[in-house]
Amino acid sequence: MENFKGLFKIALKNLKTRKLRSWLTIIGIAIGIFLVVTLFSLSQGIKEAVSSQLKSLGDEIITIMPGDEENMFLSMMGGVKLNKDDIEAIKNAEGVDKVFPYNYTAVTGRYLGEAKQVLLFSLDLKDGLDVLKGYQGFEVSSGNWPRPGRREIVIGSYIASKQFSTAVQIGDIISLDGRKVEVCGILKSLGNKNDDSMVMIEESIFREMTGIDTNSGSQVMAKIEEGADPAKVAKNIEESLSNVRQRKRGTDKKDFMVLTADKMGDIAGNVLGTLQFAVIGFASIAIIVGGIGIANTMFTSVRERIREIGIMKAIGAKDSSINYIFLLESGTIGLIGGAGGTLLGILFAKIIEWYFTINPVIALKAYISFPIILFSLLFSFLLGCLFGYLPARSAAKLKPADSLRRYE
Amino acid sequence: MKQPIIKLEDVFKIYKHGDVETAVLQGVNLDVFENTITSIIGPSGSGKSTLLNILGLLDVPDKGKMFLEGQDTSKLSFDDLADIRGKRIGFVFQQFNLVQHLSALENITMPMIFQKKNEGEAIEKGRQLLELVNLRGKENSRPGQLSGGEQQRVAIARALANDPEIILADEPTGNLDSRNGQAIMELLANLNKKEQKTVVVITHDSNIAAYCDSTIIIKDGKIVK
Ligand SMILES: Nc1ncnc2c1ncn2[C@@H]1O[C@H](COP(=O)(O)OP(=O)(O)OP(=O)(O)O)[C@@H](O)[C@H]1O
Ligand SMILES: [Mg+2]
Repeated sequence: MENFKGLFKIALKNLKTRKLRSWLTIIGIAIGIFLVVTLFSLSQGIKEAVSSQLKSLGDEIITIMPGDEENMFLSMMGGVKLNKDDIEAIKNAEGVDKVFPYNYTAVTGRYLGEAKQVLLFSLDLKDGLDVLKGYQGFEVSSGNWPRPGRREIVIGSYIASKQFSTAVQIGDIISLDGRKVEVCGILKSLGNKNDDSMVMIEESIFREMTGIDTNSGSQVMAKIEEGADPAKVAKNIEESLSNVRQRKRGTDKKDFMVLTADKMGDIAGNVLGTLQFAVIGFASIAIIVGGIGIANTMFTSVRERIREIGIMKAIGAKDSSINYIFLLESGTIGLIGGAGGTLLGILFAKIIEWYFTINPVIALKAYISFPIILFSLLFSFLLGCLFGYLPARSAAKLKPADSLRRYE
Repeated sequence: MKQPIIKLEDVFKIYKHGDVETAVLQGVNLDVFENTITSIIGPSGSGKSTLLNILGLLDVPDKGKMFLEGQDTSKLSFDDLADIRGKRIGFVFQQFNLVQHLSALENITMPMIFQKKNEGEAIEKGRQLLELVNLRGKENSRPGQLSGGEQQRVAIARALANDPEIILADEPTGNLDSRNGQAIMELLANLNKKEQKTVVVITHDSNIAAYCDSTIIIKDGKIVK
């Protein structure tokens, strides 16, 4: 067993005699660790935000979208729709209870002379409202849902309080693409800017105002029957939709997606996982650069201290003692850099989190946990040791008589 | 007759520069007896330091053997050699060879750290040694803040840290004026007389021979007397 306490003291004194160089090397490693900690805690936060949002969808809801899985974003942007026959087919699939086509369009909302682009959603007061309330957590926090046949809208909390310079109140009149409608309700916040920026109007009025056929849908939600297995029902819906295509168009090209909550979670998880992997991969390059900085500093230090190493060997230091002194030096550089980088990383992630609580585009929480902190400290210490390994070994292998002959 | 504490048997040290071989030591035979003080004198480049390095196990012979108390040291590992240097041998060099960024006390306690001595005891022992070499109050001075004579006394204190039986000094007075040199020689002679240490001193200076039981003369890598 080595006298680690004593060797560590020697190592610390060595670091102190080369303060500037030690600090510069520490900064190098701190930057790498800082990037990884920030990016990891934020991307993990995004992952959890998305997965909790998907969870709020509930198992009972199956989403059907046009397009295929490979080109998901393309079909979402391209305005491809599921038509009336498709919706009928979904409704008829075994295990489906209610169907709710999703239709929305961008309109210009004008309030007290201020014009803003908003997304207007069609609201089916029967099945649609059930699904929204029962499974997606929509609730009016004040006022009421629109009444049938009336030009009334419910607005998200972001529209009510932040979109316009004056807060919108129940009973206020907003004009949508030039048509006046009355605000009858304000939705409870769902914690993210997207959901809180919705404007909903009754289906028949939506059709009349926008000319969009609400029997089709850019997205369709199906609520399954009580106790049914989502995966099985999804299969039924797929078959049912394929049949319609066979019959009507003579093609079996699958141009739709049937997504259960599980499946969406998988897709989102995959996309975000890949993103996280890539981002952390790039940040790791910064860590490697920092590590090379450590190796460089240590090699320089060994070269400058050859005579000192000879002295230590003459007075009884074993090769292993010299090895440990240098490893403890490089490990300490790594550890201090790691601690600084972790601290800055957490701080920065918290600032970003704070920014998003003020501007709630998404409900982003920086993901920070004690094991992660511990891991990053241990990791940076070992990183220092790893990059200090070759310099330390070269120091340990110096011959005492030769090293003592060197003049500084 | 008594067994020598150090015995060299037909020792060669050969340096190679490309194809050219220089035999710096050419068949040295030497006995150093316990509790004696020996000087080695000889012209510059004759191989004195090379010889001392081999006596101190800082270097190993290319041919021939070195025995420590009858034990053949050629069989020993690097770790064993380091252990013997740390415990049984103390070095004093012409250039003092103190670690510049450590205080006098820290320089003296360093050999004890390598022998895993407990910190409190090491500091206590370090202070006693500073007192022994008349440097009380200089605990926290760096080598750069000490005179040459003071630095050499710190080096002697360091050499004594682990109570070695053998002190090897390579021109300990070479960088000192005659007054300081004399003080250092008296210190070394006292270690031999009062503490029963075996001392070997390399020197250019024939006056030093006066302090010694015997004097060895080396020339071109061979002992001539
Ligand atoms: N590592 C080495 N490589 C090559 N030659 C060496 C090496 N070490 C020593 N020598 C040579 O060996 C010879 C003896 O050197 P050494 O240091 O033992 O002499 P010395 O008697 O101590 O001289 P001085 O009185 O000047 O200190 C010198 O010629 C020196 O150049
Ligand atoms: Mg010499």
